[in-house]
Amino acid sequence: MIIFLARRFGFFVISVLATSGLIFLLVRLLGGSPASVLLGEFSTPEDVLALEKQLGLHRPLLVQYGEWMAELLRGDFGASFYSGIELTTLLKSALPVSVSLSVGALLVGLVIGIPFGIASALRSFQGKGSLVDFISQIGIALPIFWSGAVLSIIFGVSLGWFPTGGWVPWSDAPATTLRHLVLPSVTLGIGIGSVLARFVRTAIVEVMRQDFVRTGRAFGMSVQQSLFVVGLRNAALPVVTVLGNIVSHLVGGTVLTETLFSMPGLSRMILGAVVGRDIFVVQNLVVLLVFYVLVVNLIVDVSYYLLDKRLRI
Amino acid sequence: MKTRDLPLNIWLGGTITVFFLLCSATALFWTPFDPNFVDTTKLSLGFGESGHLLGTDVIGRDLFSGLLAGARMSVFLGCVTAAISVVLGTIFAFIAVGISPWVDEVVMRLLDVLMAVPGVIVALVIATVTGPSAISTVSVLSVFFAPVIARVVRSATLPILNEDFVQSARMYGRGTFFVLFRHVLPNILSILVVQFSLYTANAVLAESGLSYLGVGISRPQISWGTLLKEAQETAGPTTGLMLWPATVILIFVLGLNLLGDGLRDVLDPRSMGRRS
Amino acid sequence: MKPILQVRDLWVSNGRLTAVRGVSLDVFPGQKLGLVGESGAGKSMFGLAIMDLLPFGWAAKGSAILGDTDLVAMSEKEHCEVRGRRVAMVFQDSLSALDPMKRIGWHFRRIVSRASADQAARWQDVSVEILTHLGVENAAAALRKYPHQLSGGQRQRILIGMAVATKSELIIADEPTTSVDTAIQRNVLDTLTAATKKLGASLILVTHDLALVSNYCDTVAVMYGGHLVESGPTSEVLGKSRHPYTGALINSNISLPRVMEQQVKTLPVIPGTMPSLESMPTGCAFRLRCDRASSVCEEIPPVTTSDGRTLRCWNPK
Repeated sequence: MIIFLARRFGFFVISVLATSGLIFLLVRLLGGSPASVLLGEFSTPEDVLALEKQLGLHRPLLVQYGEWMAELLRGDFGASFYSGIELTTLLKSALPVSVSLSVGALLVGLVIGIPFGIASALRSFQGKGSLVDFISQIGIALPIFWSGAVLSIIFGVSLGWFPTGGWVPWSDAPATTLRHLVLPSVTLGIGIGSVLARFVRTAIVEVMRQDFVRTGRAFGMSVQQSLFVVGLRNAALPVVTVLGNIVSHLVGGTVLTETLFSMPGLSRMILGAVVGRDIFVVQNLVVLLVFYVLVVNLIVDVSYYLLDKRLRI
Repeated sequence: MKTRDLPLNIWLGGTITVFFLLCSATALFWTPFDPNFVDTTKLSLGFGESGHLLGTDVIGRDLFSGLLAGARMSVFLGCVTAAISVVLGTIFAFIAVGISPWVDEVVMRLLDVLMAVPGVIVALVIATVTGPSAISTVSVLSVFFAPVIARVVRSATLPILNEDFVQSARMYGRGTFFVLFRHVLPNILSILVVQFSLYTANAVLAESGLSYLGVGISRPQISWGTLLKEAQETAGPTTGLMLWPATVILIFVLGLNLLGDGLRDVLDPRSMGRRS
Repeated sequence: MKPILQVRDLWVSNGRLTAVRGVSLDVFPGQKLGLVGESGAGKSMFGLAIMDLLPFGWAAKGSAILGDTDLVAMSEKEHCEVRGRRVAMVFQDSLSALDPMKRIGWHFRRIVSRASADQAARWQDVSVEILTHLGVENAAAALRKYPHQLSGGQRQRILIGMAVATKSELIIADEPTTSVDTAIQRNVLDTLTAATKKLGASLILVTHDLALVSNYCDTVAVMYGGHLVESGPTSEVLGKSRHPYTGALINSNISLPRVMEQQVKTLPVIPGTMPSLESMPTGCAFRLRCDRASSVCEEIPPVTTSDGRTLRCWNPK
């Protein structure tokens, strides 16, 4: 067991180093020096050189990388080149928005996906067709801007139940915040729920085909009973792995959703930096996100390992 | 197999795909109006007004022409991205499988890391540094699609390598790569076609998303994603300006998915696994 | 004596393929019936059909009357009542048959409580007693273990124990020794037959191994290509077989030692292989390999019964 955990953690460390290294290289080597990116089109070569000296960009790459890693570990994420505002300050207001959206979408996804998946699996096992299957196939293909727009039009504009954009901090008026969260969470949650439903269904049907389900039935369990007592517990294993995958998609989807609903979250920060060519801000934020995704995957893998008793001899 | 027996998937998906391909092709030569032509006398027109089939945007550009021009770009980029991804993925898979188990392990781990990272994010970094463009978009997307395709190709290749006719080719002294290209490739062609179809859909979605965020294509080049971006920034997400490109994207992607799934069922339902 | 199980004209198919063709047989109380055949003969499907545990897409037709209820005509709900109460099954692969996420005790607790309400509180003692009788060492500890932590032989005994704990009238054992080391195969079968006898139940032993049948079963039924080709008391059928297939089967089974002792020069082999489900010939399934086949064999031979033996052959020996 220790060996597995050590190997997995080792892989995690390597992944972090590899991806941060990749991003580090991309920033410094693609399309000219970062200094010219920061200064923009109208900079002179002398300006660029001066800035490079100032930022220490002429030093050996390894040194720069090491220093950068040290800063990140200290919690120093740098500041915007233009406004000078520290990233940590900006993050304090942006992070709650993105996190709320992620959690909301995940909840919606779980609430939709799991029951749909189970119902679909049950019907499939008993030989009946599944409308749910077809619906979830469509649900997966729905682009966020489409479902978001449609939902906004119906529930936001026509019915006027929920606001179609903007944000109010939790500390100010939690009830209003919740209302702002509904449409974006549902929009993002539909896609997640569809993927989850499909996956849950496949996982359960796979499990139900196993011999030990037959044994359960051989000793008197009904199909429904065997599904809930035997099937779910065993299907939970592969579903846990897909959750890691979902989180990866969640990150991309959050960016789109926040833009669609004009939410002042992480994506607005990043996009603003991208458009403004604030390269180091982009670099640090991206690495942060990647790190978060890798951590989640690590947790998922370890949970899977701990849950599956067979692997632990 | 008679054409009548082909499943609904292929009919529906195929029709949609062909329709869009035709529109893109038409747009190469002709659109009702110049999609970039700003006509300040005809701002924010509605359905069918003044000969503009779907109206105009806030600065008077014809929406329908925009959609057609967007089709030209989005479909083209989608296909190119998918093609590059499939080729790259196949190469990765062949390298992994063909050289040695050690290489296989290393390559697969590398691809694992690549897959764990959301591509959108890295696209942002590249866009910042090089400025958003069609080429950067295509490259980033291809690099992030390739690993998943590589996995599929690899798991399809492994059983074929164990088949008798491959073993006898190897006994005759044929090198591994010869075997891979001459024997394995023709057998997995159907899988590659399916992946191409499905990943064109993914690529169109991804490119639209990136352009929508502002890190993909921008005027004077038009893609569906740029139309979405402009809609978001000017009229807001609840107008027809946004809904039309979004719906167009939805239909095209659905059509491609149906086609891909249908092809998968028809060409080799058993060896490609269940539809999931 | 009235049979506890009367199977009449049982067919099992999935719409495209047919695994069991018009099989009829009786099982009497206390009887130990050996259902013999090569793989693909339909014997496993027969057992599964009795329990209505056929794989997805397969269905049974005909009748299988247990006591006075027809198993084939039952609803799923009624089947749940019968399974694990009146009929129990011992599966072939003990590792895949047990839920890897549940301890052994979990299964026994359910089964014992279900079998009799007053034993429910004492389920552990009851289970330990059963398992110890079956030769499971340290039964109490075994109850707390997970399937992968036990050896194949122990697991097989546990499966037998589970079947026995149901106190059923009929136990169907589907190749119970195939995934067990040869060294303990006899042992497992001794345990199985002794336990069945103690319970007063009947046993259907599904196997491809004629030697086992000759040692443990009082009656034998031979299947080929989905048909029941011959049945009757073991000593009679094996001593003086009437169906050509049975004869060939017996020959190939007992010849290995004789070849070793050089009494027989070559191992008699039945030329050809049993047809797959897709390519089953019309009429008698064995006719393409039979040295006594004639043109009349293109029609399915009817079942003939004489002095306790049934036979499906136009040209018996």
